[in-house]
Amino acid sequence: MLLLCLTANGFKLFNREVQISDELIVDGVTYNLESNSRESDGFVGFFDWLRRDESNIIGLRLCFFQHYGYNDLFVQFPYVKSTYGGKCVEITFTQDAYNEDLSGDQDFSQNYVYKSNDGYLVTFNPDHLSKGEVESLKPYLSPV
Amino acid sequence: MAGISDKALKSQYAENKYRFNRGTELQNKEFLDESGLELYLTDHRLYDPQLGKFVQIDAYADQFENWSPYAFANDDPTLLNDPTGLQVSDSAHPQERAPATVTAHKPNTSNIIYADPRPVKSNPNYVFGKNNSFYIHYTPGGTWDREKVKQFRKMMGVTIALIPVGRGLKMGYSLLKAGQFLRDAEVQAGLESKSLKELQDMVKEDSQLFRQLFGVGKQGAQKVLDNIENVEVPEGLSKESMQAYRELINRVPDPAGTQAVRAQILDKLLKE
Repeated sequence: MLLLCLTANGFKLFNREVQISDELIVDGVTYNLESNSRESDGFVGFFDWLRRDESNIIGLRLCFFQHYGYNDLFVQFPYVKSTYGGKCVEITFTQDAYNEDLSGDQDFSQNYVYKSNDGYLVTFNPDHLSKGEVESLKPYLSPV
Repeated sequence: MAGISDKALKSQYAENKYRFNRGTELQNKEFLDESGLELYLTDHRLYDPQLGKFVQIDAYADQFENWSPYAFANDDPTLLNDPTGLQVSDSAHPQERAPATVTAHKPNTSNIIYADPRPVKSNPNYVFGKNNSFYIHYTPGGTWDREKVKQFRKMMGVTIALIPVGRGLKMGYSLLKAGQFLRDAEVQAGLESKSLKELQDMVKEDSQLFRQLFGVGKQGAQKVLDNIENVEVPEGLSKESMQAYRELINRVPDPAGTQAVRAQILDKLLKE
């Protein structure tokens, strides 16, 4: 599972085996499952892997079905870009631009939002990515 | 056949060829030797009075699996009737008042459409072929709230009020298609009035099946759309779930146009 942790100090990316539960401890921080996310059972919207080219993923975009409150809180972080009238948020791991045409997975499932005292954690299921695409994420992963 | 015919008893009278329902004519003396089919030609099927069965299958046999496709009036001629060969009726619902009741999907009394003969002519024969349009009435199924009624009306507009029809089975087919249209519209209206949570639950259950159907990303979906004639819906993916997905994507931005392609796929598959 790809874990994207968002705090005021920046974001961190982890690729870990995790069991979805009410509480997750990542990088020494305890995260609790956010109530809207629990209710929607990991289906808060559709997400896209943002690709620079066919084999390199350089970001993520999450489009929400509705305003959940944490949409606004995500965009308080300077590295989170709000698009489509606040219904989508984008995070790119590099300064490179992504290719729009290659970045329309509109995937869903196991998209949970957790909350900690310092920020948020969002889970993304990478099962549908190719081996090469998963490899392309490695430079952006935080050390365990 | 002569052994059990009443010809021997009534040979001195002019032959009555119109003893079956609604004056349907006996098709006898068809050939030079005056032998005939000995069958009544109803609007939709030939009826054999000696056997008490139709000799052609019911046009809607696939929807009434519990009955033989050749059965007359559900094998209950004392209570039921089937003067046209298309629809069984009873005294409480005579066919003259509802000449073409068909069900859209499953035989379910809450989901019936019927032609109303009044705008055409009181004679039901006219409904069966001599006019080119008729009104239909629809009894919606399930629980309806104000929002669903509103959505249904919005969806129906006036387009369904008049349906061009032909004779016989062609009219039956028109009714069947109208039934399907209404049923789909009803489902769609139900979906539009459903909460986000209800739609999410329906779609989430089939997330893997949707992945299987759409492929990966916009390119994957485009390939499916380009080959839509050969696409088979993954086993287990229900029409309701596809309609729920179709409704759900109306509620979320579509940055790369992927959902627009998926919408086209669903629209085509749901039409079939």
